[in-house]
Amino acid sequence: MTDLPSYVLERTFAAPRALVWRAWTDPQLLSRWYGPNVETIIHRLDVRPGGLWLNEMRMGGRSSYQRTQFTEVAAPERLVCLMANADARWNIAPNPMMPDWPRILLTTVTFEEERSQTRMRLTWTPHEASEAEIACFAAAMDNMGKGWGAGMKLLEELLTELKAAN
Amino acid sequence: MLATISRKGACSAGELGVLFESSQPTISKHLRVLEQAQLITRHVEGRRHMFRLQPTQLRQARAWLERHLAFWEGSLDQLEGLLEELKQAEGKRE
Repeated sequence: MTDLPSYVLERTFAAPRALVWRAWTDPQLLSRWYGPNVETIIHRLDVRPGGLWLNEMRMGGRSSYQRTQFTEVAAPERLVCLMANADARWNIAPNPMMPDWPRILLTTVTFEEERSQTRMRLTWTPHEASEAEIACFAAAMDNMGKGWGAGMKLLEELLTELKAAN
Repeated sequence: MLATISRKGACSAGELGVLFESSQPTISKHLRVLEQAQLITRHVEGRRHMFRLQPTQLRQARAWLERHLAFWEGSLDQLEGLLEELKQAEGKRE
């Protein structure tokens, strides 16, 4: 794990944690916020370890599909899931536009309550990824070097220099 | 070092090994990873393997991460709006 690059996004909401948790785990609420400017259709949302979230997003007459499997569910503070692109039959599929982008992203969402506000933190890490997928993900990140173990240090330096040269 | 590749146009694995003070197998392994990810390209010139930068793939990877983040930032903006709405609805009920 320490050898893998990860990307973190944080946001604080002026709402109690229970409400933020509900917005993630109630399909009617989740479909209202997940996916900007698209029609989100939730075919299944089974928020428990091993359960699936099958998500379709429609835009301009075309659909894209995501298959997410929950691996850890600790209400109301932590959700861990494996997020992947899928085909129309919900099989995990590589991204046609970006074949070296990690096919599966291990996504960890944590919710911390502070004075009736909720700090949400999303962390993405390539899951069961090839070295090419890991290099692609790492090359894309600005905060390169964070979360990289010593084994990948040379690769990290190579990529940092590559970024600097461009 | 890849700044060096960029400046020189191309570098051999041997030159990179000297520059990085790394063994040939180590350098080769890492060059192979970068090559698989299409971040660099290899040209065989006689007995030497020359490496060049492949900036297109790097740009695409960055663009893809930006798309991923725009998706999430946009979603979280919508979540913020929805939470406001839910809070107000709950306030009215109380």
